[in-house]
Amino acid sequence: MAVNPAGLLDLSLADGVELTQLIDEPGAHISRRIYGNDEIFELEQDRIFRRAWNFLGHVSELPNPGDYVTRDLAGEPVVLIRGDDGEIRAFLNSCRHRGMRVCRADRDNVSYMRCVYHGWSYSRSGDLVTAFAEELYDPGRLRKEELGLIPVTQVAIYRGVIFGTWDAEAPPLEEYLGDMRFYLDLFLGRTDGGTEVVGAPQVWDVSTDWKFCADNFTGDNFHLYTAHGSVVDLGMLPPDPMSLSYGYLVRAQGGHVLHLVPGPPDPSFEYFGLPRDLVPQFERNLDSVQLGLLKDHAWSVGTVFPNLSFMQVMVQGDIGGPNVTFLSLRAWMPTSATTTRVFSYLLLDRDAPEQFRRDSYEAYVRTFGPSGIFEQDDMENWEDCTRVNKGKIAQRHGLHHGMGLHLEPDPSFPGPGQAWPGSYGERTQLSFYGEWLKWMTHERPWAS
Amino acid sequence: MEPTVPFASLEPGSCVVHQIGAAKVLIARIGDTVHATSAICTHARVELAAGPLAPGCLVECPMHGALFSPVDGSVHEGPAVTALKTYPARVVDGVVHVDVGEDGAARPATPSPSTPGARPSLASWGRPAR
Repeated sequence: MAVNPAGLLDLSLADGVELTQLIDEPGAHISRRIYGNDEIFELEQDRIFRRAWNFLGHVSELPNPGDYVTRDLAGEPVVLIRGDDGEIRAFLNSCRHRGMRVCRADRDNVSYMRCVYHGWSYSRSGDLVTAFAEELYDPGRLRKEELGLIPVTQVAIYRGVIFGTWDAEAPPLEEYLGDMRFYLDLFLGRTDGGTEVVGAPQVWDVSTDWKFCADNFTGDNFHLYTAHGSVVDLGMLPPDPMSLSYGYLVRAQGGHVLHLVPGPPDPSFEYFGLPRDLVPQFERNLDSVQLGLLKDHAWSVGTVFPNLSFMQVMVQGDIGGPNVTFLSLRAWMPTSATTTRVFSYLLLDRDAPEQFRRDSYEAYVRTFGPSGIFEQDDMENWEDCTRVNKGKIAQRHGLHHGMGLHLEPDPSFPGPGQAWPGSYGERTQLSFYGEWLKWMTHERPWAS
Repeated sequence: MEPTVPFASLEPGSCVVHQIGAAKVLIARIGDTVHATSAICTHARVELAAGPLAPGCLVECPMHGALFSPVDGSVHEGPAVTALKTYPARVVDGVVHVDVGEDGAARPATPSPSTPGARPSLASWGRPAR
C-alpha cells in the first residue's frame, strides 16, 4: 500500500472522489457509494480484512485433536485444526503443490490433511508429511520442512472465540479488542465453564453489502417495530414501540460498539433473563461494575469491528410463550461487493441448566438463523438497500444517520468508553463508519 | 374552549393538527361536523398527519398504518391497541373550538428513554419475562 508522509493511504478512487468525502461522521452523512461498489470492496479486502483481527470460530467447534473447520479469512480459504498437542492452528487451506484445498468439508476429524489432487498430506500441525513419489525428486529438491501449510499470520483466542489476522504488524488481539473486552465478558466470560457452540453454525449467503449487516448490529433497535412489524403483531416482541428504546449506546473503543437495554423493573428481566442458578457464577467471574450492568439490562446487540456481531436478547420463542434469552454470534463475511456469507452461532453457557438450554435453543432457532422469522425481515431490507444504493441517481444523495446526536455521553455511566443515554440513536452506526474510514485511509489504523 | 382554525378552512373529509398549549389536537371534519382527538398515535407516539381522511373517514398513522376513528378515537385497525383521547369540539362563529381540559397545561415531562436510569414500564412489555 502506498503511504504518504502523514501515514495516510492513497485516498483517491478511480474517478477522483476521495474516500474522506464518503463518510462525514460529525455531519451524520454517509455516502451511498460505499455500498455494493467493486472498487470499495477491493480496498476493504486490502485495508480492513487483510489487516484487522477477523473472527474465525469458537474453540468448542474443535473439541478433539484432528477436528477441523473451514472458514474464509479476507476472502481466502483457511482451515482451523486442533493438533495432537491440543493447540488450535489456522492455515491457508491450500496445498503447496497446485493450490488445491486440503480440507474440503465444513467440518471433519482427520488424521492427516490430504490433498485430493496428488495426495500431498499434511499433519494436524500443518507440516508436509508425504508428497507423491518422493523418490523421483532430486535429493534436496523437495524440502518438506519448508512446504508446510501456510499459517495464518497471527491467531489468538479471547474467551473461547478464535480470531486471526494476515497482518504481522497487527497489535495483539487483547489490545485490538481493548475496552470491548469489558463488555464481551458480560456474555462470554460470566460463567465458570464459559460458552459453547450448540450444533454447527448456520451458514447462508445474502445479496447484501456486509456493512448493512454490521450497521444493523451496532445497536439498531429502532428498526424492530417497522421491519419486524409482523413479529410485533404476533406478540413476540413487547407491544410498545418505545419499550426497547431505553438504556445506552456504547462506543467501547474505535468501531467496537453495542447497546445495553434495560427491561421493566421486574426481577424476571434482571441478568438478561438468564437462569438464576448462574448468578453466583456471575458474581465470581465479573467485577462489580460488570455485574451491575449485567443485572440492570435485558437486551444487548453489538459489533466488534469489522464484522463480528453478537446479540443477547429476550424474545418469545413461541407465540404467547415466555420471553427467553439467547446469545448468538454473527460473522458477516464479504464474498463480493454485493454478497455476504453469514455465519450464525448459538452460544450457551456450559453451566446453564438443561431446561434453559432447550428453551434458549428453541427461541434462537425460531427467530434468527436463515429460517428465523426475524431474520427474513432483515435480509429483505439489506438486499434492497444494497441494490438501490448502487444507482447513479441515488448516489447523488447521501444517507441520513442523525438520530440522537444532540445527546452527550453520560459521565456517570460506569463502564469504559463513551455511553450515550437512550438506545434509539445512531451514534454507534456513526462510530462504525468512522472506524471504517480510518481503516480505509490510515497506514496504522489501530494507533490512537 | 379554545379557538383553533376557521371551519371554512377544513375540507369535508380532511383533518388538521393544531397545538393548544401542551396538547396536539387532530381536528377532523366529516360532512358538516367537526371532531377532535389527540393527534399523537397511541402506538409509536408519532404525530398524526394533516390531510384527507382515509377511506371510511378514518385517520391513518403515517408510520405503521394504524387506523383510528376521528369520531370516538377508537382503533379501527392495528398495530395500535389504545384509542385516541377525544376532546369536545364545536363551531362557534365560524371557528372550530376545542376543549382539551388539563391536557393543555404543561406537565412535568415523563422520563424520556434517554434519561439515565429510566426503564420501560412493565405494561409496555406486556408482562413479566416468565
